[in-house]
Amino acid sequence: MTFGNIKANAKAWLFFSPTSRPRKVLKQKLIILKNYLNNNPKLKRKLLNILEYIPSVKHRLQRIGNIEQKQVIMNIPKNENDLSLYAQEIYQQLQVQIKQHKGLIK
Amino acid sequence: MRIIIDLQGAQSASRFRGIGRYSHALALAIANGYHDTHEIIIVLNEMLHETIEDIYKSFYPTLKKSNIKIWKGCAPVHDSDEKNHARIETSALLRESFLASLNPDIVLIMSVVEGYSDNSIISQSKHYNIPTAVIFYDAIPFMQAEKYIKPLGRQFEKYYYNKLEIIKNADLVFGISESSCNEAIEILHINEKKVNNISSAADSQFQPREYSNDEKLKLFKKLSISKPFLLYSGATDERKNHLNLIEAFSLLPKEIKNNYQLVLAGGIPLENHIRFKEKISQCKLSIKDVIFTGRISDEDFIALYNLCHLYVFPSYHEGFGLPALEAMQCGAATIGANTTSVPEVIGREDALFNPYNPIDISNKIESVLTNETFRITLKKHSLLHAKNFTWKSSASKLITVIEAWEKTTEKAHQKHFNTKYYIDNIITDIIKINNTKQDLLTISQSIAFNHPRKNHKQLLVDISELVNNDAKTGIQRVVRNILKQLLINPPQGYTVEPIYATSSQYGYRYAKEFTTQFLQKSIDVHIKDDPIEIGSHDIFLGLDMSPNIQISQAPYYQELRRYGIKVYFIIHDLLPYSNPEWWSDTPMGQKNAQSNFEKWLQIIIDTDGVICVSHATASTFRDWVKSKHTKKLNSFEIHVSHNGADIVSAETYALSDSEMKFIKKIKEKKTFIMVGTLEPRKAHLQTLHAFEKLWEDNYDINLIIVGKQGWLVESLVKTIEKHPNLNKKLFWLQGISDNFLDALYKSSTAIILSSKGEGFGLPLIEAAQKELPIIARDLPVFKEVAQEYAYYFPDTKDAVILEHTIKEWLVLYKNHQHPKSENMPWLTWKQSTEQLLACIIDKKSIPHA
Repeated sequence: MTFGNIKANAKAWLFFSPTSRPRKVLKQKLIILKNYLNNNPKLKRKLLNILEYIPSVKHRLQRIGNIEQKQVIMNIPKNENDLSLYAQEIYQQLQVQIKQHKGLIK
Repeated sequence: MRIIIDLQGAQSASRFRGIGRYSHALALAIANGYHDTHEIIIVLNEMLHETIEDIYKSFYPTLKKSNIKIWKGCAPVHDSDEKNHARIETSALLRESFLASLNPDIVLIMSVVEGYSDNSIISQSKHYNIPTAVIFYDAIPFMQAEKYIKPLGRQFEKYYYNKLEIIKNADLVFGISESSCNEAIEILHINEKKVNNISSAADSQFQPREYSNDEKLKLFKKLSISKPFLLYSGATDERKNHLNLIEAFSLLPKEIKNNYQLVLAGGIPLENHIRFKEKISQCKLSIKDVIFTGRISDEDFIALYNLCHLYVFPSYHEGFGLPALEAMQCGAATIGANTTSVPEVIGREDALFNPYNPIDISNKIESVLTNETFRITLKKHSLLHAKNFTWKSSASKLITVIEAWEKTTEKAHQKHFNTKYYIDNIITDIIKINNTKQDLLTISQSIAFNHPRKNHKQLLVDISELVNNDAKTGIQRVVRNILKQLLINPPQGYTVEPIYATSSQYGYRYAKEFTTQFLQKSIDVHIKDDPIEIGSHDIFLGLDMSPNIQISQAPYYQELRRYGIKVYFIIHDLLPYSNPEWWSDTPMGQKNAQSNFEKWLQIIIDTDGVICVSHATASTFRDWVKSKHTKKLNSFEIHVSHNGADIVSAETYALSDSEMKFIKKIKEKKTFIMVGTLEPRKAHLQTLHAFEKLWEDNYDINLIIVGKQGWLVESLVKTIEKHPNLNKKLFWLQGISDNFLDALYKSSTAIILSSKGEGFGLPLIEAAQKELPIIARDLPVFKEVAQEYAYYFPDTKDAVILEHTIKEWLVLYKNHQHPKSENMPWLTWKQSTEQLLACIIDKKSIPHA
């Protein structure tokens, strides 16, 4: 192992760089901890009370290993096909009027 | 009056601060006190959706879900980023148009200065004449711009002054104290006729409490408190005046100072901590003299308020001064600054001091600490004076002012326009804003959401498994039958819409193509499975069980619920959770099966309710909920609706020669039949062992096993295939026709249902239809369905017990005393579907037999 590798590894362990093994290990451990807490509701409640004071940490922990993370769960339409029929009609109305507004259509 | 409350103050970053608590508590008091006399509508911002569920719950049951309305904008819209300008402008139009469509008499904005760092949108009405009232907390940033505005840059300055304009232009301004009203009038030059003091209150959890010695010691040890203490709680910005308080404490005579500690409760940013420590050292105090608790829970705050010797509130400038009221409500002797709103809260001239003068603060502290009679008087006064501040009284003042305003104000003639009017108007405005193509898609979605078409109410039926991959299990058979009935006989006032999802795409689509094929209609080539369009009166029914998809769609169910849609799931059984060993023979496989199923249960417990196919399943489900403590069952609905069964066709078809020969053969003896896939829970092996014993005892009877080989039954299959009685007294038939099965039923003496677990037990009904006597395991679900129309054997693994049961049954049979199944009551699919609809629409569950 070169010095560069050792340095990179040490850095990864210190900062839990994305895609690094330390990060994966940490994530696995946190998921195990979350599962443990889910089976111990009283302990979970106590921890949640503490985390209430540090919402950013709470939200980050909530996201770890969440089912939501496993899928592309985005309520943002990427194209017209992601819109309901009614929203598609509104989108088309918007497009036509924008073109008219810009003078592209009379 | 229709009073609309914009509650973004309880949704934004402010929800963690006093403003959020104020907004929420006042809105609750208005709803509690006036929902009968006025129409109270709470309006929430969908872009802050993570807060909606809790707000819904907090207003339940005072307000119906239909009184809580949600609008959508186009995120992100935080004002700190200039790039959001177009989206902010557009979202403001979307909000305004939505509010106008509700036709309000007045809109009450709980907190105006919102949206700098989150997705709140508070704007001034541009196109619609919407009367507005605002809550005004204080003008501290305006009055101390050098400290609170300038350091944050021009973007913040612009943002803040824009918000002040909204306050200035409001029809009514409600100050949270006399002092804040004065600031509105004198500093912001708002017409005093528009300004009214509605005061404030503290949460009712702040009450006098008794603490045992153990509790006290535990708390004091945790916070390093070792002496009687003086307390101050709250934020740590400069106006809170911590430095003068520390100095005042140091100025106390040594003999007093040595007997007390000063406790500064609450989180402190590092830079302030350093400043305070420097001050402590300058004042020649030791670290033990001044305690910094850091962030603590409400419970600890209440304890400190109750246990402090004296509460000191030296803040120079307050909008109200809530911590002082919280302390007083707990009965703490309280002294405070003689500036801004603090005297109103404390309510005693002799309990005030000049906060700018540490000597004056010190003298006042000394006067209390050296005069126990005065301290006791202050304690009594605290409890008495705190009673003047209640949310009920604030809500009453506010409503009285609004009612008076309504009587004296000439309102522009309000018209309620149709949806098209609002959509056309908003489009005319939005096209002038330079939005991106991506944002236009979101905006279209938001307009459609904010101004829904007046459609029929929909019953959205999730049939994802059927559409994506028809596993053709018993559950899919149930799904097909109920779906068919729902489509033929939709509930009154609803259109039934089969829908499906996948695990990779958020949300559901209409299953138009599937439904056309299902109903055997000709397929229109233009038919398209569009994303579903929802309305707040719709109902979602998770008819099909597709755990993987449903787990992935968990956030979507919450989104549906936020819009007021009721979400229900059918629980066909809980066997993968209760008996994972029936699906896997490895501990890891069992754990996975169980945890996956539990994930699914965790998702459905966060919806409105479930419909279990039997009381036995409902009971197992209740046990699971109780064991996990995940949810109180109060608002969660658990219904029971039995499955139906097909009516037997009278038609018969000719059997093949070999089938006829077989039927003739088995008719010669008493024959017992088992029907169903060979799988561990069906307990074929136990039954086979029981028959082996019967055969050993010279019982000349047949056992027919009908069903294909399933999973984890390799050894059973080997036992059957090598059995000495195979094709003599023991028969295994796979893949036989319905006619042949029908003939077997008719030719058999009894059916044996030895299954160790079922969600419902449809084979019981099928046997009853064939008038075939039933010998069943004594399971709650079998007893619920078959009642006294079956003969039961104890739920044990022991083959001898089953052997004895069959022997007993044969004696009864000989004497015609065995239970007959022909009178067993059962439902058709039509009746079953009607029962299911009664559960979710009329909330009527079937009673336990």
